[in-house]
Amino acid sequence: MTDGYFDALERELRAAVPRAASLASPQRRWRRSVSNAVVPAFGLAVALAVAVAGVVLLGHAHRTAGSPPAESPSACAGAGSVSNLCQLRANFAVLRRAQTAADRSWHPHLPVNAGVLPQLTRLAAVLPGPQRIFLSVERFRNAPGGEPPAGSYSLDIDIVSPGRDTSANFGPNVNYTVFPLASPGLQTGSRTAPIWASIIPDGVVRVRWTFACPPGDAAHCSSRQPITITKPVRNNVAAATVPGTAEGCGPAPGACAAPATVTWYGTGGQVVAAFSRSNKQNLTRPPFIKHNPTAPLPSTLPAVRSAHEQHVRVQVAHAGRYCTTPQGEALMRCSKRVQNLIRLGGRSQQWLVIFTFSAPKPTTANGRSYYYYTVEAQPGCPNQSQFGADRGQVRKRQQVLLWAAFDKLCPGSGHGAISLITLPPAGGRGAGFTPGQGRALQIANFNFVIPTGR
Amino acid sequence: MDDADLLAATARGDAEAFACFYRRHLARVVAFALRATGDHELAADLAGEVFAVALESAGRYRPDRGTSVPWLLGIAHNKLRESWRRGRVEDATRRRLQISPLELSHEDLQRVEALAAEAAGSPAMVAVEQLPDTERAAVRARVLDGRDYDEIAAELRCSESVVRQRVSRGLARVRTRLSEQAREGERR
Repeated sequence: MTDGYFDALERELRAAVPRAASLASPQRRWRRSVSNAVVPAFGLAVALAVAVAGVVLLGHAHRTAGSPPAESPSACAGAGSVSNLCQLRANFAVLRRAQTAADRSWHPHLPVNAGVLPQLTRLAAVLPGPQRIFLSVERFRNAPGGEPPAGSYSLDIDIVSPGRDTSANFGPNVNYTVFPLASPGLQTGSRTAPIWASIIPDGVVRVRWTFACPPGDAAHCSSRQPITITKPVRNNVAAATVPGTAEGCGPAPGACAAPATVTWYGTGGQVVAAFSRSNKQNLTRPPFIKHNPTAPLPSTLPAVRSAHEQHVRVQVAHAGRYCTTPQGEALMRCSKRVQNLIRLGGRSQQWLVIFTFSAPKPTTANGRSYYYYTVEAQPGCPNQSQFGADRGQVRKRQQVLLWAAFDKLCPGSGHGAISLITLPPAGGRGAGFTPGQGRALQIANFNFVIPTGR
Repeated sequence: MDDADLLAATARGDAEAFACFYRRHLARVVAFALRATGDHELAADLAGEVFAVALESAGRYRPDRGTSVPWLLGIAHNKLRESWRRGRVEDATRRRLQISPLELSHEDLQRVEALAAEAAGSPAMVAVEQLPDTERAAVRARVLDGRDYDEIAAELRCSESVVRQRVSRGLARVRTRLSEQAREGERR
């Protein structure tokens, strides 16, 4: 077990005592010799200068005491696919805090057409083992193809370990790292558990990542069970070591579950953005949540009461009795007569909350409107907050069946909400689940109870 | 050993004495830094630099000019202002003393919280909390938050001299209370 920060600091300070003593002695001698040599007038002048400087600096410090304020969104106009510095500072609190000594312990490697802003480098996360995650800001000069544009800024994330640096940037070419990037992580036995990390803007306190076997690669995946983890966001970064996952599948069977869905949760536990690989979405604008300069703040799931309040039938059952189709679009009782079903629950003995309601409105086939749910179990439950959507076309008054699986360690009451999300008309390329878009009409609330024990 | 003895021994190169001083005042410095920055990481980093400066300045501490706590919090206050002015927590002293940069884990951040809570429960803080409302507000603003008199006066809607008076009276009450506690402890 290693010492904590304060124990290590004490050790370092103890070791520095002899150095401090040796540094202090000549300084005192020098000071005495100066005070004996200089005329009192000079001393008075120095004192006055120090006093004046002190007044000026105190005044300045008084103005700047406290956290530097975030730039107002209105001051960050001109948003395109590439962020400007103002936007980065307005949307990433980690860039607004003062730089620490640990932040300065690493220097980014730069492409030839960019310069780094060293005062904005931040140590964002310390992982078990030697890995560290840093954020840094670079400014592009003229690039051969004009991409990214000269003068634009990029927020980079680096998973740094000895001899290796895995990097991505908050840019459209990598979907703003909404789907986390991976770095080979800890070796456990013969297997390596990759480290996944993602840059998360202000306004998001928790992320949920679901890793699944990529469609068409089932033969190469050692397990077809999706892996879901929830992680808090710290320093605008979410990071986790996830065994059994990989960025892609190799020819031999192995761990190759990759990020399939990503959900961002706000401070109130509400979903503020959701992303899915299956929709092949490409974000064309930075997914800012708090200070979105070009779109109104997300109205993804506000508690808007409507005349469409629906009755929801709720059933809680052992998940092990139920199966889904390979793509997860339908839930049914497990049957040997139906091929390729995926059994839910497995060894973890989950409880399934199944909720059914009559659709008050139809949804469109192009996925621009859909039913969306959130469910919340008791605090302390490993998968306390969940969300999902029925992306298929739904007719008016059609019975819609949705479900969420909770761990056996989640006894107690929970609640959920169902909303109809309507996205604005597609405007050019890349239209999808862009956060900040869409209107939510809450159509139902419901409660459920997860029993104690099995 | 009291703080003056510990700092004098530190200046002579006694590492154990400074470790004792560090452990005695860590919670107070961390609590101050956390209250001033509102950020656990900055608080821990700032505390590191404050103790490095205290170590380097141990030989210059004069007990006849006041107790060690205001001296230490004065260092913290200066470092805080310097850090905000430069947009980074200073580590010049730590570098000069060849103290390695340290990184914080999640557990360390929880320790920051625990240290701040520990300081809040210290006899001095309890005594501050027991002050009359007007004096408590003035003492907190001036001594704990390190704010300027004119700023406090504007906030409390009174003159600077009134604030100074309230701080002075409040601190006198705290000192009396602590002395009484010490005497009671000795009797037991």
